[in-house]
Parts: sequence; structure tokens; C-alpha cells
Amino acid sequence: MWLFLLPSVLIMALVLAYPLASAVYYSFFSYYLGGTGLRFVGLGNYLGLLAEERFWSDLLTTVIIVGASVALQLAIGLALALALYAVGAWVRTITLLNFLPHVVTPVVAAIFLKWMFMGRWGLLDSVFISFNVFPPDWLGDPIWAKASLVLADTWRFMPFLMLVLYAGLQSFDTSLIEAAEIDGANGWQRLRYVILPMMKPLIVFVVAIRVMDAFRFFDLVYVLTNGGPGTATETITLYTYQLAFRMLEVGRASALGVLTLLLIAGLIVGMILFLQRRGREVV
Amino acid sequence: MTFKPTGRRRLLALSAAALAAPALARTARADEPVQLLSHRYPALEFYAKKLTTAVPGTTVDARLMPSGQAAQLERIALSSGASTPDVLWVNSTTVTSFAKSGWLEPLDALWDRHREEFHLDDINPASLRGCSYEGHLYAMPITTNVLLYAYRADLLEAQHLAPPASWDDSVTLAQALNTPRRSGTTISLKWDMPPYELQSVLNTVGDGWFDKDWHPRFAGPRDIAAIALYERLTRFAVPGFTAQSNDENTVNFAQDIAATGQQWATRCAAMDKPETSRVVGRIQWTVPPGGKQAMTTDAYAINRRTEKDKDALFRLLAQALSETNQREAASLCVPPRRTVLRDPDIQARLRWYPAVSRALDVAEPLPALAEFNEVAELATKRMVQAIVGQMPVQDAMSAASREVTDLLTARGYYKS
Repeated sequence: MWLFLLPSVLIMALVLAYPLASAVYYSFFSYYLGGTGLRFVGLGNYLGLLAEERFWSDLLTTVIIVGASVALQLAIGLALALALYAVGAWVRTITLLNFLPHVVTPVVAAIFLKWMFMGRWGLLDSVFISFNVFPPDWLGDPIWAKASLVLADTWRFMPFLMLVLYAGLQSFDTSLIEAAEIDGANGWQRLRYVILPMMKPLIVFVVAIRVMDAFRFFDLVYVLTNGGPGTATETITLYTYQLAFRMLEVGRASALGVLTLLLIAGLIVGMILFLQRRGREVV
Repeated sequence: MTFKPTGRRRLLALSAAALAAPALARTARADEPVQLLSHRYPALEFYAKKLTTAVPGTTVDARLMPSGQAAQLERIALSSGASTPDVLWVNSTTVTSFAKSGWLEPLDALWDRHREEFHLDDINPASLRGCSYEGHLYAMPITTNVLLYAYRADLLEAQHLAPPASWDDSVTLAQALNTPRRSGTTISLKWDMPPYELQSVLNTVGDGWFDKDWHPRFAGPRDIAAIALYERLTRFAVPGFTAQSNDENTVNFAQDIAATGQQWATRCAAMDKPETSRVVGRIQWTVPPGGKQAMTTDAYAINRRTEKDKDALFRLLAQALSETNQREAASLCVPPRRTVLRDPDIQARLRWYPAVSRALDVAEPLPALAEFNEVAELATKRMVQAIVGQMPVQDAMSAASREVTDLLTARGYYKS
């Protein structure tokens, strides 16, 4: 029986375990791709990164962008899921149309968005300027560049949240909602005291998935701003890429990759513990 | 403690082989095709095609791809000691890095041997500078691209203004021509563009990148003044300039959105294409204020570990870069041969060529430092932070100086 698992285990070992082990291994070395050898530095790469102002600033940027975009996605996704649940008509068409941005290849979507945000002749600027309104510098202003990334990420991933939340709503026991209605609860009270508490585990789950995914935020930021202006939108993953492929510092890039992995793993553990606690409370 | 990275090299060689198969997978033998790995754009496609037919009986297997991918693949292949690609694309920056690592065949002896046969003295010395490292020639120049100062002649004439004589003048001019719908200037500061965009202002208003011992000069008052001046210039630039590169710059000019700015010579032809340009015949070019602006050479080099006959490879390259081929490609790129560049017929047909000739005489390649890509990554990020107001200019330039010094110290510079 175990033999059936062997091909999968071998593939997993080759494409997951080996690269991970390599990254951990190289993270303990000073390894410059243009140089001649490896020099063991122990935890030097980790300590160096943790002492860097750029690491903390990139981490903060990542947290801001991830936090803002996931919050916006949740707010819009939940509102749309509830609206679909309430309306009940045209659900398939609306869901399909909403889901289109999510199925577009990420880099294609990013290029498309860049042409929308481009100064003066981008789609957004053209529309605004046709009304004689001169919009802000979407990609060139440090604050607006972050906002543009949040909007772009929301455009791509909000449909995913909406779909999962809508599917969750479909599976709920409607008798509780009907009972609340009979007891005289108005729409807001039904939402606040019945629907949202029922949805809480699902919301936590879907937010956890999105946060983990968003922490690996790369394609959109790479194409739209490349971390700029300056380092205003430079995320941890983009910094890892820059260390590896522009600075050729494979050792430091590996250490940063491992640090990111630990951060995300910490988030996952936190979410799982939260869900387990919620589960016990419900029981 | 030092480890010999045998396993790493094997792994890199395997990765390179897997990525570039079949170009890199086969062990090169004399009777097998010459493997060419190159960046792709129309001029390089033209020359790659010419290479395949340059020498009867010699077949060339050309693999063309975007520049970043090509450079990355070349680095993996060469650092792992692969004998292929036999011939590879390099530019002014990668040639220094690859030559310092000992991956490229020095061409000095071959150049001397074939000097007369292929009229090699006709090649522009400025182009050769972009293919050299520490006094040795490592590549054969295919095209030399140079930054020009482009301006809307009609707008200047209407306001009785003249092209700028200094970078200070360029700020005044951009301000005078700036309107809500047409910016005074266009600037490209997307991540790989700042070294080129800032080269002239750093070299003329500032003291340049380094002193003769590779100590950065960024924290000096003149370099700080140069970046402060550029910060003023960006106030009249097309929005989004930190996300803009050559393509966007070209659109800004062609769609009548910008009045002045630096422009690569390879982009001039697009200004006069009626199907894509609203400013046909209205753009003029001159040397950027003070000169010393960026130029870059795209060139072909020979892998030091190739198993092919290096003399034959050199002859193949020289044949493809003949005067006839360069004349044919003149509309696609700036030819390194002076007889072609200064040909009166070509200068009349391609109206930006007189400015190109003058620009090449005063242009300055980026510093020939093997680690320049890494240096630029650190330094220009700080400069852009200063330009967009993320950091005070002085703090940003001090940080750039400190970080570059740390990097070069780690790379073994400054040892007494």
C-alpha cells in the first residue's frame, strides 16, 4: 500500500523538500554568485537581515499592503456574498463575471492594470482628464502607489472571497434565520446576531488563506511598481528577489526566504489555534 | 571556514542545462552548430539571422530571449563552467562582470590578427570602450546606443526658447513648457533605468559615481546638488516616472504628452512614424546638457571555455558585422562602424543621426566596475527615494555612499 505513495513522496521530496533544505543550508553561508566559494557564517545572514532598516521597513510595507487589501477584499466580498444570498437571482452570471479577474494569468492581469494606472495616458487618467480633472500620480506617489496596489490586489482576489463566503452561506441552516425573523429581528439584527456568528469560522478560514497567500505578494508589485517609488511598495518577497537575482547574494536571499517561511508558518499556527479555540467554544 | 562548492557547481550546471536545452545541453564539438545565446530586440534579431548565414558551412543555433532572462542564463551557464553557449550577448555592464570572473575570451590578439581583413579600425572607439575591461577587449560591438536630449522644436520656437545649455536650464525649460495636459519633461526612473537617466547630471552637475579608487562620491556636495536638481526637474515630469521605462517614455513623446527629455537613439525613429506618432517632424535632438550622458554597447563575446575554434568564431562575428550588414541595419540601431554612422546619405535619411554622431563623441559609459549592477541597485534606490521625497537628499546620498562602500568592502575593494 505504501508503495503507491512512493511516486508522490519522491516528487514532493524533489520539488519541495530538496529546495527547502538547500535554502536552509545556503542561509548559513556567505554565497555570492559572482564569487568563487561558500563561506560559513552561521546565523550571520539572519542577524544581518534583522539588523537592517530595510528588512523592517519592507516587513511593515508588506503588513500594510496585505492588511489593507485583505480587509477591503473581505468587506466587499462579504457584502457581495450577502447581496447574492439575499437576491438569489442571476447568481451564476454575476458570480462568473466577478470571478473573471481571478482566472486571468497574474502577470497578464498586472500588465493590464499597469496600463490602467499609467500617468496621463492610462485608462484611469484618460477618463479623469476627459472631465478636466487631473488625478494623483497613481504609481509615482509613495502613498498612492500603495493604494493602487491594494486596489489592484482587491480587484484580483475579492471574487475568491466572495465565492467562498457565498458557498458557506448556502450551507447554513436557514431555520435559525427564520426563527430570528419570527422573533421580530430586523435585517441588521439577523445579520449581526445570527448570520455573522455562523460565518465566523469560515471568515477566519478564508482570511487566513488570503493572508498567507498575500504575504507572498510578488507578481502585481513586480510589474506595477517594482517596489517603487524608492522602496515605498517594496515587499519582503520582492526584496528576496532583489537580493538573489540583482545583488546575487544567494546566502542572504535564502536566509530571507527562510525568515518569510517562519513568519507565514507562525501566522498559520496562530490561525489554527484560533480556529481550534473557536471550535471548542462552539462545542 | 571555507567549503569548496563542488555540489553547487554540479547543481548549477544541471539547472543551466535543463533551462537552456538544447542550446546548452549538448557538449559542443567542432562539427556541431555554434550555440548563440542573445537578448532579443529587432536589431539583435537581425544580426542573429545574419550570423546564421555569415560563413557557409557553419551553422548557428540562435536562442534569443528577453535581456534579464538571457543574462541570468548566461551567468548560470558560465559560472558552472559550461562550454556552451559558444557566443553570447553582453552589454557594457555585464561584460565587466563576466570578464572579471574570467568567463570571456580576451579578443585583443584576434582583433590584431584580423584588423585589416575586416577593417576593424573603422569601429568607433566609444563602442569599443563599452566592450572592454581593464584595458582588454572582450566583445565585438553590434550596436551602440546613446542618450540624446529630445525636445519639441515647434514649442520652443513658439516661445522663442533655446535647447538647454546646462541642467539648470533644462529645469527652467521644462517649467516654461509645462501645462496640465503636456508635461515639461519625461523621465524614466523604473528600477533599471536610473543609472542611465542620472548619468549625465551626476557627471556634469555632480562629480560622478566614483573616485579613481572606487570610493563613491554620492555624499559629496556636488552629487547631492545633482540629485536635488533632478528632484526639481521631476516636478514638471509626466506622472508615474518611477514606473516608466523606454517604452513609456517613447509613448509620452509620441502622444504629445511631454515636451522635453532624454531619449535613446534607438527610439528616435518611432517619433516620425505617422501611424503611431502625433508629433511627426516636430521632435529635434541634441546632446544632453554638458554631455557625459549614458551610452551602452550591445556586443557578442566568446565563451572562454568553448570547445569551438575561437579564431573561427571571431571570423564569424566579424563577417556578420560587415559594413554591408551595418548599413542594412542602420534604421534599427546605431552602427559602431564610423563609415556607416557618418555616411551623408544615412545622416540625411535618418535625421537624428547628426545628433547621434555628436552625442557619441561626448558620451560616457557607466563605470566599468564588475559589481556595478549591484552598486546601482543600492545607490539609485536611495537617489530615487530622495527624488520622490521619501528621504531628505543629503540623508539618502549618505546612505547610498555608506551602503556602496560596505558592499565594495565585502567584495574585496579598498585593501591597502
